[in-house]
Amino acid sequence: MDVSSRALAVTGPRTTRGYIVAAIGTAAATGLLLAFRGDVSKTNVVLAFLLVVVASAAVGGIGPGLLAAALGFLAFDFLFLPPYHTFIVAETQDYLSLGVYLVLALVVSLLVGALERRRRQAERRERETRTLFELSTSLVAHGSLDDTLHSVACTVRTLFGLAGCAIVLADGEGGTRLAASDGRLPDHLDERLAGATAGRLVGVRGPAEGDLEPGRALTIPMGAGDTLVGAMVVVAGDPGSLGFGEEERRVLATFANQAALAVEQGQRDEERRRGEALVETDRLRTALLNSVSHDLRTPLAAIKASASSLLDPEVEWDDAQRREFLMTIDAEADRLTRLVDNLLDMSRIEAGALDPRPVVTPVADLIGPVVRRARERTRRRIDVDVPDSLPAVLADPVQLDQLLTNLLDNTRIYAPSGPVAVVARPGRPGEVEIRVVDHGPGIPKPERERVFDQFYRLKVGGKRPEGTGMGLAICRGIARAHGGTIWVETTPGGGSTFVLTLPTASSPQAIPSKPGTAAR
Amino acid sequence: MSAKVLVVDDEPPIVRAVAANLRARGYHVVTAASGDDALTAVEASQPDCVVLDLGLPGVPGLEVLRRLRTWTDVPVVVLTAVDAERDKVTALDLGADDYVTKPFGVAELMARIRVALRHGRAATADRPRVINADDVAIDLDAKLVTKSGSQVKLTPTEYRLLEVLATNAGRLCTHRFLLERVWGAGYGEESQYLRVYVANLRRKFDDPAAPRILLTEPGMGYRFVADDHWGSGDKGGA
Repeated sequence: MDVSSRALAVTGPRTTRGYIVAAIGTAAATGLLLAFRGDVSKTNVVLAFLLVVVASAAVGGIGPGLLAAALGFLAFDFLFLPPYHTFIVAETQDYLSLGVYLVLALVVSLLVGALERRRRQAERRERETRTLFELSTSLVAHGSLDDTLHSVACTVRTLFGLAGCAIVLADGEGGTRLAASDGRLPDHLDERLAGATAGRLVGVRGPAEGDLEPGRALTIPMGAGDTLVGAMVVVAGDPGSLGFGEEERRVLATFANQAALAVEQGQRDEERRRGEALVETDRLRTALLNSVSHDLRTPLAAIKASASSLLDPEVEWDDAQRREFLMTIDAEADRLTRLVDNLLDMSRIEAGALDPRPVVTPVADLIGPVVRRARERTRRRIDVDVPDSLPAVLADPVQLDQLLTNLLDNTRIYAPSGPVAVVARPGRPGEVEIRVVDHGPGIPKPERERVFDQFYRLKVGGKRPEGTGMGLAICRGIARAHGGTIWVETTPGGGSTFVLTLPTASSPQAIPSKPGTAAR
Repeated sequence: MSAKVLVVDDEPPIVRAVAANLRARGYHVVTAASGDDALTAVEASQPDCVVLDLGLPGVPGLEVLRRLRTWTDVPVVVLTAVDAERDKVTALDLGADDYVTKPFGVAELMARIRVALRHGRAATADRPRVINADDVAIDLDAKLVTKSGSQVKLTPTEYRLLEVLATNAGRLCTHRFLLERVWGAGYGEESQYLRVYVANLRRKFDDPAAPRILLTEPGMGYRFVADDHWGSGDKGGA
């Protein structure tokens, strides 16, 4: 990249060097010839000065060639044609020598200068090609369209030594948007973009030709075929940096159109990806709807079947049978209530309306009642370990009760055997950790985050387990609304450990002013 | 000999309720909680009727039905919580005899099971050669239809359609089932034919405004109500 950026800026110094060669060359030749003035013929003097003309034209083009010719003419006349030290020419044949020298010098400097100019053009074309190639390598897809455009902006800025480069695209709704930028943006770009159509953007282009002054902005349209997809806005660098002239304009204009084609392709790709994502969202929504409708209908079906059995005049049920139907109705009504409650909680969490009412509560008071109820319900061993020294937390007792109940309910479903423990410990500074530890089959690593997704249920032995698939999503929603977190890790020796962190009552992060975002 | 019914559902409360009702009515009951268990149970206990939940974990209900139909004609009543029309029609096309949507009343389910059992027996035993429905009699041997004793004149296609419906009395016959049997394979999608011919049949012996013999099952098919199969013509809450 360095080579070509230097190569782009050689025009000036070469011409200067030519003039220097013309001046110094003429002076040196004059000095040398003066030393042997008596011994050299006029022809040799002419040849020596012609040599300087050729050298100057070769280094610096026509200008230096002509300068060398003029200087040589004066020196030849003044110093080497008698009478010396005057411009008077004594002998007639000296007029001929002067004339021949002048014609030769002019022809030589024109020919050599033209040759030199063609060489420079070829060189420039090569440089342009090389620059375009380097620019177009930045178009190789970098994932998303915006990533590619960012790489384009960076490459353009570095390659042309600009202060900044921005790419503005038509947003498809008649307006424009800033898609990528690197370095300094032109002043008031936002204002100029606001409400500007892609067509008007080109209207804000900078000076039409010539070198771009430091800090001035120039807009280069990006057109793919007949459509204008956007524009590149470049800001010239400081006076010390590389110039931005005609050559650079031409290269960048060509490149801008190449980039436009890439943008079009990228936009088409993104559209296709968006379409695919929509289909996926739709599929998920359908699956969700099916899951909820199945979950709602199942307890309803059990209630309806039991109640209609009891009401059926065809059958005389005995007491035990009647009691079983009633118990089914009771249990399934509870299940339905739980499901509806969960759905309501979930929608509150999604709407960010969980709104905890926090009070300073010792951790033991949060854990105690939940564990007592769980022991009654499941008749299993649940160990509790809460040190007296543990700081109190700032929490909504009702919501925390629900969170811990959900966690213990999960152990009943997913880890039905083995002891369960609830352990509270100080966590990171300002936090308390509550761990619910089971010794069940555990959760495979890839599913450890997904279990907190709504309606995600682990399969137990290929069967759909009971539960609503919302419990852990609700837990996470409550934890976040309290300024805490929840995750799952492996219990040493096998099983799952759910870890809940809560800020202590004295911690500044206790209960964020706005409830945390939803658990998705 | 009392009939044996296999109840397949993954929800224990529903299996318990259905089984209790069947036992109270004198049936033998076998239960299964998954598709695999159901397939094994049909082979092992040779039930006279299967009550099959379509929303099973593992092998789905429709697949169970498809596999059953490769080797047995045992009557199948499907239970479904998925209220997608397509699943019901697919189940009926696959050879289910009837469907009941969850949540269901047990009386309705028991009635459907009763019809399915009779139909299953009719398929194996000698068919009754005269089918009666209200004041209409269809003599299958003489190919003669009478209403209140006087002959009803039918075109050959009308008679063929009525014959298929009447010999499947009580059963929900899907559009595809009727079209393929009356018009032949390749006519499965032409349900407008059926609308026309059923309307003609109704005009000739039923009440077109409030049919009692040829019932429409919206979006699915038709059902012929014979005297000894489907007394009231009431379809309950479905």
